[in-house]
Amino acid sequence: MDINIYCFTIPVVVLPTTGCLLLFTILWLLFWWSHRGLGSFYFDPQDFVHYEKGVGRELPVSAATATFEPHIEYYTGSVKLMITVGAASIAFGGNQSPKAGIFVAKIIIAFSILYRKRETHDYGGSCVDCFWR
Amino acid sequence: MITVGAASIAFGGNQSPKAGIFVAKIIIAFSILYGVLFSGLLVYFYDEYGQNVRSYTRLRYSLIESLGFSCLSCFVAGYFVWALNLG
Repeated sequence: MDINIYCFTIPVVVLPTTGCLLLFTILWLLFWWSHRGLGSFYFDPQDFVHYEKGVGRELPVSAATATFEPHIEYYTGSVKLMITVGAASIAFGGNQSPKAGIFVAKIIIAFSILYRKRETHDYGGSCVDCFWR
Repeated sequence: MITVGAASIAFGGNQSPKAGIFVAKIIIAFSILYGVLFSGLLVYFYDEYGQNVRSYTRLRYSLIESLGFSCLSCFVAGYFVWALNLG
């Protein structure tokens, strides 16, 4: 599959690849530039409280004992879900040519996933909003 | 990763989709690539942080943030492109 632009023939794969790499580069430069002058960052809020005393900021009371560890589980869990859905779509998606009615039904179901009701669970005594669980 | 690899080997490469769907799949593949790198590096950096609180430098911070947001953006963009090419 190729695309013809003027007298050049470009493989289709080049355009999304360039776009995705460009997106990553722009985001990286944005974060790099916007945090200039800072040496290192604390993962755990309790370390920020201990070593920097909050540098004059008003921190949440929970910062004194909070760590980043629970968030790692949420982040990796979210990424796991995206990887599973993405891989399944790449492997199985785009092969079907359903009837118009089936197509409409699929779009409606897709919206039901998008608007999925947020559930609230109790984890270890603290109530957290767990959208991805 | 074993599941993804096995599924790709078993089912991948059999289809001949439209160019738009093909583009969407490439974008979603980038989302997977960024996501795997994000998860792996995040756990690795946090492990390093446990040995040295100054190890999470600006370079590492920028890398983790950009990988995370690239993963999310490519995931959304991939399905957006896919949706545009349906029907």
